[in-house]
Amino acid sequence: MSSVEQQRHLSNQRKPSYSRRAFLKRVCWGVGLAATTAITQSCGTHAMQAPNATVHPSVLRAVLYGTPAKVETFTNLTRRFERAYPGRKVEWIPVQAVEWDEYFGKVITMIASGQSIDLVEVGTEGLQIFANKAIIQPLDPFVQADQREMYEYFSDVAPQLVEVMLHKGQLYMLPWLQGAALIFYNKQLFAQAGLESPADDWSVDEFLTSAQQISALGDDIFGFGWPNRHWGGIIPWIFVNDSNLLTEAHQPGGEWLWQTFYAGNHIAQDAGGGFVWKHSRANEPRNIEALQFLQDLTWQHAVAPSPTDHGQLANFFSTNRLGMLPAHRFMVGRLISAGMQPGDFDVTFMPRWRSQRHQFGTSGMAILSDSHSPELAWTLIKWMIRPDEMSAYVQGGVHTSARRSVTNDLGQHADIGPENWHVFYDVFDTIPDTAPIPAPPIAKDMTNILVKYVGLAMANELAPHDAMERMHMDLSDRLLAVDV
Amino acid sequence: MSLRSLFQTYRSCQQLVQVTNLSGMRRREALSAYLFIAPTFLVFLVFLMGPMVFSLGLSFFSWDIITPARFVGFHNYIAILEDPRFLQSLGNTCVFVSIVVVCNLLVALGLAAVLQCFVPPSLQRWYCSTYMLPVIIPISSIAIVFGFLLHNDLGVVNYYLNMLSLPKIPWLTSSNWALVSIALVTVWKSFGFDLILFVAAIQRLPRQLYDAAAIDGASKWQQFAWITLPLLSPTIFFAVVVGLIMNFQIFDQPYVMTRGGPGDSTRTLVMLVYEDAFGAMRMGYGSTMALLLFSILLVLTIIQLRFVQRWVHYG
Repeated sequence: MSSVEQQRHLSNQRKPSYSRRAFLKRVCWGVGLAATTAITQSCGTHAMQAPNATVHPSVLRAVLYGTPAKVETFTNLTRRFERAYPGRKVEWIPVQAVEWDEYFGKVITMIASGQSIDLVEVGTEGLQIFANKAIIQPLDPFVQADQREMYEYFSDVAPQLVEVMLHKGQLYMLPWLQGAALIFYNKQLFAQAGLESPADDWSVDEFLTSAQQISALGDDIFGFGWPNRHWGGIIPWIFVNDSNLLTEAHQPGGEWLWQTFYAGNHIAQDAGGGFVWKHSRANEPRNIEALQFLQDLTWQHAVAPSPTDHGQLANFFSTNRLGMLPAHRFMVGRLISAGMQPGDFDVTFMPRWRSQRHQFGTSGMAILSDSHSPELAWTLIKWMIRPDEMSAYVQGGVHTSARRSVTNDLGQHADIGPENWHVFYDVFDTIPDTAPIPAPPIAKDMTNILVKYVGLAMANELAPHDAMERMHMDLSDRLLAVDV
Repeated sequence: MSLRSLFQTYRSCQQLVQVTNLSGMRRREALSAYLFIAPTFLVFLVFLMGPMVFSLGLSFFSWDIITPARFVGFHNYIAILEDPRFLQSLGNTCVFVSIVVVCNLLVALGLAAVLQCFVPPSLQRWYCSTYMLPVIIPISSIAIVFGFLLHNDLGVVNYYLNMLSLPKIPWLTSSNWALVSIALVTVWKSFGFDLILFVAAIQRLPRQLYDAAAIDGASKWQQFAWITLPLLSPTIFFAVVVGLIMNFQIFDQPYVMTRGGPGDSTRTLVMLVYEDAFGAMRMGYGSTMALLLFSILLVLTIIQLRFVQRWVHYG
């Protein structure tokens, strides 16, 4: 052996003997161990308990459902709050989503990833999802501590809106915004069709006649359009037919709230500790009838186009191709932005069928269970529900306030309409059985199932009876699997 | 992309082992090389390989992100095979991919040939840029606009069909049409990419082959069939592989245009993964579906690589 070869041989002996197979084996073991550790460490609640430690307790981080443009509208609110509480800062985090259910998924992912969040905007559809997972904390101690301050607020908010913010007897949010599905109608098309403005107590037959007369104005003009979604889809029609998609009951508890703030309010007499939607009623005859009615609007009477989203509906409505649509006050802002004049449209109740019970949704800010500054978060919530702040936020018809005084303030409607604005809050005050959209902890799955079968019926690929039967089976399966 | 990265990582590991057997200078050179690729390798490890291995582990758990994970063994795998939504979504995805990949190839190849034969070179660039425009427009914007255009009753497309006394087509509201409509919108958006590839490849083909064929009396069609197509086979192969991988991950268009409906007729695999994992918070179930999708893509790519030598000519 030459000296060079000897040197190489010795050098090779000194090196660890790694074969390719051995190396890959070790890499695989390493990755596998790391993954197992990661799964066992991260698949738990520690992420919620140990958020970013660098967050300063005087900075509130609040998540909003909406676009960055929505955050801009909060700038003035934030400025006033920060001026009133020097040294405190509010950071708004907008989360964009097509629907509430998508927003909830994104927010839960943010929270689970360890992001420090103090407040989160939650709608009716998500309250039980968040409360059941203990992501948000009850406001009971805060409300009880500030009882005197809270009298004014609760006296200004309909009890139906408050009850849906309770779960298992505890209050999780103060209603901030609300929206009951009402009928917006195009006054120009009504006039062209020789129709009078509908009365508040109009019937389903009158609704159908109006839709038919408007549709007769032209091939591309339709009497009524609606979206196939959780809020404002088939549910309002099920409600006015005096039914519900799921069984609806009041949870026990909540007496402290009702006796303190709503004693003597006749609407609050039957209120409990929140709503519970336990079983499916989808295949009940009245629900099948409601779907048949909607299917007939499209396929028999040809007065309704295929269901489409509110954006398209607003577009068709504002270009005088649609006579009526279901919405709440957010539609006023959209129609004005689309170029309609205040007198071009108006709003009324859903038509009376077996009842005139309306569906609504509401939203508010909830404090996260692991918030660094729950006291400060509560201070911000109290600031946001002030009449002047609520009034500033819903200015221009972008939303409907949960406060009666703000929604019924003439100044909110004087320049933009609609003329019949009183229905925005009368839907609670004059129709006491108006109730929330069914929102069990499986609201996301429920929406998917609802949209799927209503879509098939509206495509005329399933008879309403079959669609509701299948919906009932799927909903029953899913409701069985969760603690409702 | 992930497959390629996976392969590169494997090769890197192979070479890393070999480094230990090199002489001092060669070893220093090799180590410098590995230092250069280290950032990419780390990014791959953290953002691709890590989540993949994490998903594999997660597929044996039931986890809603918030509460602690519960080990369920193979339950998720068994449940998926019994889930009719999974099978329907898989079928929808396969139909969608077939339509888009085939149409993209035919349209792009046809247009590339037409551009090459009939359009002067100065105009070819303009045409290519025009066809490329939809590729760079965000797909969600396109989906919203086409949602308007294809509306059954108030859309522009049916309006013009009506003017021509043709019946309305339920583009997005019929289970028979919705998936096809979404596929056609996707073809409109994406064929420009393949077109650029084909135009570039055709321009590099040796002219002497065509001259020789012309002297032998070959027609234009014969030249295309027997010279252009075989020589374009590597480009076609690349377009097919990329098309398959990209389109199997279809999500935005059906999500924006139909939300998976009517029924489940346009629900794709990735939509289902998203809905289960981030909507219903069934992370384990969603991970299992994602892994099955990965396995399908892996098998398809391996099959293609196996058969590549039969029809792809690099010479």
